[in-house]
Formats: sequence, structure tokens, C-alpha cells
Amino acid sequence: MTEPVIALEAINKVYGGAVPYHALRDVSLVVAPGEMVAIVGASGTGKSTLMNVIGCLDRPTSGAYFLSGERVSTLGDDELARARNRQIGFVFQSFQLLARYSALKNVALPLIYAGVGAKEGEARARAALERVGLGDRLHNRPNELSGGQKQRVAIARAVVNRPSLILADEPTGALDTRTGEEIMALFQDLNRQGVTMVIVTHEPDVAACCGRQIRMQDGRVIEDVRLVPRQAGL
Amino acid sequence: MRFSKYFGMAFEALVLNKVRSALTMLGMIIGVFSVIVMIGMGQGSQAYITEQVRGLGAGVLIVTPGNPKTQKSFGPPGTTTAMTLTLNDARALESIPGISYVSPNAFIQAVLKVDKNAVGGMVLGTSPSLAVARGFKLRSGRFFNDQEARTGARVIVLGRKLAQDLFVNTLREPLGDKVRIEGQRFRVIGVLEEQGGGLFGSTDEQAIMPTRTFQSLLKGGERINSIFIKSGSDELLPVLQNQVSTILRQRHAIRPDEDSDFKIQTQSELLSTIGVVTSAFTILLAGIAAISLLVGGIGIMNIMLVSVTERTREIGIRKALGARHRDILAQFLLESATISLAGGTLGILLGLLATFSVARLVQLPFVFSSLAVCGAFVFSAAVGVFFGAYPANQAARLDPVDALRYE
Repeated sequence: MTEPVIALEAINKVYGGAVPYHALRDVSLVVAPGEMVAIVGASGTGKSTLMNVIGCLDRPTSGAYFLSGERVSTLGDDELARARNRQIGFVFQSFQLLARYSALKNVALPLIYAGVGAKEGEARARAALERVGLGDRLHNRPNELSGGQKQRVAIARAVVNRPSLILADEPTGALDTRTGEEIMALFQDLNRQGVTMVIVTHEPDVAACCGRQIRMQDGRVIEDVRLVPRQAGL
Repeated sequence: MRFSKYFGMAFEALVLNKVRSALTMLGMIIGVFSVIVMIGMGQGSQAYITEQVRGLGAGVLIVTPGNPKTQKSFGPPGTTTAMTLTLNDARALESIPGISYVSPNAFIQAVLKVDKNAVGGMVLGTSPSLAVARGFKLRSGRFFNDQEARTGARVIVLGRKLAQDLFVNTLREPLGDKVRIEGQRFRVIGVLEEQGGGLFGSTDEQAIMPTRTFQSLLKGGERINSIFIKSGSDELLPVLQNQVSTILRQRHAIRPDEDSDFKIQTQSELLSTIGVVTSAFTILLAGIAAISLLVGGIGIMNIMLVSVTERTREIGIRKALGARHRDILAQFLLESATISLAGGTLGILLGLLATFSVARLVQLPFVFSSLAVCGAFVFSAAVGVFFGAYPANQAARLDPVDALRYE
């Protein structure tokens, strides 16, 4: 049996304060390699918290989280950073590119922290950009690129270190419908090549592109359905 | 390899904010510059004074007025204390056997005049033996002799520059002409070669006359600033020192339980006294300059804190992509260290240049202190790391989730 990429066991996340806020309640979830999963739900239902936990940006208050078989729920900050670097590629709604860096340098950034040499890093970043169709925009800065191109740079950055999981938070939220479709088509393409995807979204069109939909409400998973995905961009 | 990447990042960030980086660096430049100049000037004057005292030659005792325990300020020997030595004291010391000469020295600042030309300078009253002791060379004429010294003849020997300044535009030769000082006329019997500095200032700008002449015409009373006593060799000095002390205490009627009102030093003692004084002075100046270095460091800290706040999202992105605590720490530390080191290096170079130029201008020896240079370099690096540590740590401790959300 292949090891699941994500295995969450009874994850709880409580934010302290005068009035403790229970953001995640007993969330258990398994994502197998090669899956394309959408996490949907209205705002305030725990989607973002779940994404932060899955992305190793935040630790659960209780419960166990195994990322590609490694128990990451109890790791220290530096090991979490390493897990993010090696295992996860992030794609954010607001792109989160460094404005002063060219596309190439933005994409090569995770490789610096992975200890990859400058030459090899540049070659891999170039290949990743070509893979997302931006082979001719290597030296442009983010402000010289369109929204869709920026998101492609972000996707190239997400895949450059060959992670076991791509985690996308509202990846089409800042894009028009047409560009959003292109991005989803690119995601489906990457997924067909074997990359596991988890996409947090509140757009039904985006969720429909995924073979599995997980619906959140009040910090719980209330629905987990598998369907035939819609082909994006057609 | 890793380091060079961090350095590249630091450099990029600094180039991006050119004006800001330059201004922050300026704080360090000024700080290091002033430290280097202060130390350079301090050591230059120390070397200069040391050279002068050495110039007196071996076997020299220097008697200066005032109780060593009550002397608080510093300056050339005999200028800063009560005047307790007299010309007769000096004469009495001549009776000690084994002495090659006793040179009583007195000096005032005065205006020398020739026709309409008036030049300020130091007028020194001394004995003929000074010329031998100091190795004066004469450009023209001669030094005054023993007879002139005894009778208090109205003769004067001029330093080279003083002579030039006094006789400029007069079409007259200094030698044989008259110079007026405080209404008195003195015949110029000699002009010195250029000598450079002397223990009481640059000899080139001094006028020298016999002590007796000086006392009777320029400065009433018997008071003198110092007495140089030269013996044959250094071995005789301890004996000589006792003899001088006995004679002077007797003459000044000092009871055995009282402290002397004069101070007898050998050349090496004088050197060490001067050393203590000038290094204290140097340290004081450098300390004041170091305050500006501190201010420069605070400037770095300030700008780094601003930078961390501005780049919160960048830090969040870097952390999300796998930067560890120490990666962020190193990046920001290296940025502040680069500012302070670049500023420090520029400050060192400018400081050396300024010290060199000023030394040339005032004819002080230029002392290259590798200790000061290395110290300033290391210190500026330390300032960068020290004042960068707090902002860098703030950056490294940011929570990635919060940092990514920061607007």
C-alpha cells in the first residue's frame, strides 16, 4: 500500500485568548498520492486554519499529522521549515512573489534554502518556468507580468523543489475567469504528471475541477465526495 | 557558498535602498573616521614629543617647578605649575662636579617686530650649551657665547621661519639687524637652519636669547620654567639627582618632612610621564569619538527595525518556502554588518587620509597605528552585529502565518 501524502488524525486547533476559539474540531483526513482535492466551505469554517496546518505553517493543538509518513505535528520550527521546503509547494491567492527579484530568482528561492548550488538552482528554476509556459519571461520582475503570469511564476516556484504536495490557497481568487481556467488547466496538467494537489477554494467552478471535494463547516469536515472532475479550460 | 548567497541577498537589499543605506553608512563613516583621526593625532603628537625629549640626548636631568603630587594638568615641562625655580637655582647647580652644563630655560609668547612687520612667536631664554645639546645648526651667523650669556647681551638668534616672516618685504638681511620685542631692541646674531619641532614648539618659529638677557629685559623676576642638567652619562644620574635635590631643597628652605616644590626627572621618566599624559589624552579623544560610533550603531538598529517591518511579507514568504530561524537571522545580520563594515572601511580610509594630511600640514609625524585600524574594523563589524542582532531576531521570530497576512 502506498503511503498517504497527508494523514490527519483527530486534529484540533484552538486559538487562545480571553474567549478560546475552536477553529478545527477532530478533523481526520487522508490524501493519497496523485489525488487532487478541493477543500471548500464558507469563510470562517476553518479552511485557512486547515490549510496552515497541512502546510506546516502552524501546529495543531492536538491530534497527529503525518506528512508523507513523517509525524510533523510535533516538530520544532526549524524542522517544520525543512518540511515546508522539501515536501510542500505553496500557491497563494496574492501570489506572494518578491517584487525586487526576477521570475527566475523568485522560482529559485526555495532551492537556496534547500542548499542547492547556484548553478543547478538556476537551471532547475529555468526548467520549472518553461514547464509553466514562461520560458520567455525569465528575467521579468513581477510588476512586469500579468496576474496569470505571476500565478504561473508562483506555481513554478511551488514545483521547483519537487514537493510531494502542492497546496494552493484560493489560487484563482485574484484572477479573471478566463485566466483562472488556464491556471486550473495547468494544475490538472501537473496532477496528471503525478503531483498531489490540495486546493482551498470557495468557488464551485474550481472545486469541480478536482476529483475529490471536502466541505468544511464550523471547523469540521461535513462532506467528503469523489466525482468525475470537470476538465478546465475547455 | 551559503554565506555568499546571504551576502548577495544583503547586498541587493542595500542597493535597493541606496539613499537610506548611504545615510546609515554615513553614521558609521563619521564615527570610525573620528576615532581614527583622534587616535592618529594623539599618537602623532606623542611620537613628536617623545622625539623631542630623546633629542636632549643621554644623561639629562630635567628640573621643573611644582610639586609632582599637586600637578594636575599637562603641557610642555614647566608651563603649567607655579614658578618656584629661579635663575640663581640654576647657577647654584653649576657647582656640582661632573656636570657638563646647566641650562636654565624660560619662555614667553611675545610679538616680535621689524619695521611694520609684527610676528607672534615664542621667545626662549636659555644657555649657550643648548645649541650643542639640541644640535642646532646655524644657517648664518652664530649662537650666543658664554660671555654674552653672563653679561646679558642684547643678542638674539632667530628660527628660520620667524626670520623669514619678520624680514619679508624689508629688503634687509636679518643678520646684524635689530628686532623689537616689547619695546626692547635685540641684535640678530644668528639664524637657525630649519629644524622642525622642538620640546617647546617648533624651533623655526622661536627666538632664542641668553637667560639673563631674557630675565632682565623681557620678564622680570628670576623665575624660570625649567632647568636642563647634562651629565657625562646615564650612570651618574641617580647620584646627580640626589645632589640636585639636596641643593634645591636647601635653597628653597624645605623642611625634611615637607614635599619638594620642584620635580626632577630623567629623560626616561619624562618620557613615561609624557606617555601617560598623551595616551590618556588619546584615549579621552578616542572615547569621545567612540560615542559617535555608538550613535552610528543606533542608526543602523533603527533602519534595520524599519526594514524588518517593511519586509514582513518577504520574511513570511521566505519562511513559507523553507527559510529557518537562522536563515532569516543571518540575512538581516549580514545586512547590518555589511552597512557597518562598509561604513567602517570607508571611515578608516578617510580617517587615515585626513590624519596624514593634517600631520603633513602641522609637521607632526604620521603614525600608522595598525592596532587602531584593526580595532576600528573589528569594532565596526561588532557594532553592525550587535545593533543588528535585535532587529534580525525580531525578523527571525516572526510567525509565518502572520507575516504572510501582513499588509
